[in-house]
Amino acid sequence: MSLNPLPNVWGIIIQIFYLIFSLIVVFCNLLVKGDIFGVNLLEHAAASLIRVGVGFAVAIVTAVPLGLLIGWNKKLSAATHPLIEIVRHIPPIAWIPFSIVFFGLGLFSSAFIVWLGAFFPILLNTASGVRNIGRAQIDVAITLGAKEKDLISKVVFPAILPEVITGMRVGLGVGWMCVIASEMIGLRKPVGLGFFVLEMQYLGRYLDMIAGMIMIGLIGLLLDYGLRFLEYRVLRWREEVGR
Amino acid sequence: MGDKGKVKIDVSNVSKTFIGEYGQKIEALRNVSFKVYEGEFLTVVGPSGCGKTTLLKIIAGLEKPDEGYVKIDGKIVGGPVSGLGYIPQEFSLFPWRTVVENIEFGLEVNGVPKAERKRIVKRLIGLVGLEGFEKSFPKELSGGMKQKVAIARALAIDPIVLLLDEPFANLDAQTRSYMQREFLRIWHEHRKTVIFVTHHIEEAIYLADRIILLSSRPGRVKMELKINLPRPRIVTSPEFVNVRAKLLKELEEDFIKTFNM
Repeated sequence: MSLNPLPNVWGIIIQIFYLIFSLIVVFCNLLVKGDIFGVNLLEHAAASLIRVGVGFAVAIVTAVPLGLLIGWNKKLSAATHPLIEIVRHIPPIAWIPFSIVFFGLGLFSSAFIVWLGAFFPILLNTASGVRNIGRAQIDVAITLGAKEKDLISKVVFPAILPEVITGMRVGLGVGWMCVIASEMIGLRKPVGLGFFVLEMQYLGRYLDMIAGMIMIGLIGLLLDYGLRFLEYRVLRWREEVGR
Repeated sequence: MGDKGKVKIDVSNVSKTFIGEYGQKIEALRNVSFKVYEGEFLTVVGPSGCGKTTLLKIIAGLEKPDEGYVKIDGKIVGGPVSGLGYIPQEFSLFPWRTVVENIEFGLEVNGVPKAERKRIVKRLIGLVGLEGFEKSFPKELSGGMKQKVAIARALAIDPIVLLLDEPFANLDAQTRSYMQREFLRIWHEHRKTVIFVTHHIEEAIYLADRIILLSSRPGRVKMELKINLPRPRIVTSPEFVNVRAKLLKELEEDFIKTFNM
């Protein structure tokens, strides 16, 4: 123990401030001039976003109809349950080698991992939404003269929408992690935030590496804000959504 | 008041047994028969779990009887009957629709043009007294107002009959008696045939032209009683209290038998 710890404390504080300041400079630099290869940080972000966008879109298109089926049909739900649980517990990252074998090193390989990550939250939430539809609402709709197509578009769909959106929020979060992981492992395309962060580590440019990580976090936050905004706009009728 | 007029609903020898969660048989209804006449207000009273809801669902075609049949306007009910005003206990409003959109649901699915819908909804909002709440969502309404919306929604399609399943059971006592008065007022305007299910004896006597008393499970028709008291009925009048005592006695005997007390 030092007898006079004060100089050390100040030294640490100054170092921390210096680090934060350098990080801001590096971050801005990455946004203005780009990395040492001249690729702008936003280009890396865009590449990752396209991959996540494709995977996420496919996840919505596949998981919502399947969730409807599983939620509606108890037998189908029981039959598919073991399969879903097994596949769901294989981490998407464990699929990356498989994905490379099947899809090569392109967009689809990454999107496939994103799809895997986003699919199950959307599927399970949609199915639970269908199971929770009030019997009374369906009965009333039928007696008022609703046909099957009315039941689906005017009762089932709006009734499950909150849970579908919850599934989408979780799914997009997982998907965003998946795309970064997929860019780090194997998919050595020269753009993408995951690729960038790992590459900067290899090159010993640790401030660039951390700036990349911050970008990943910021975009994750923005994506969630986007869906929360959607939730707020579409679900004004819910008890939980503010008046 | 519909006395021995045209038969609107004919419930004939209806029996229904469910298979419970553990495979046990639950006999809900046994040989239930009664008729409802055009324009009549019938209440079905019975203890909790006597199959009242099942009976109503069978009449609406939402459940199939194991035996017997239901005829509406002379036609046997084979599947869900559309064009009925079915009003369940609660949670039946579409929470994603405003008051107006809830009321016009039935008109919408029946392809009624927009201008016509608007006219009908406006009249109904006036009838049930929900002016000023047209654009509110159900979450912004009290329990009584929600049931007013449910009533208006049922009336919007000009239903063949109104089927109500304990519609006021979850309201506090004051709101409940207010809603009973309101419902009678609304009923006087259109004189639909009504089957109103309740376990609340006072409510049944206050509202009905005729009461059908069901026994506890399996539900059987135990007693039929015409209520000839002039409306508005006064719950504390001797005649009212007499009828009430008679019904209570019947119910209690049944209760004692069931629980071997």
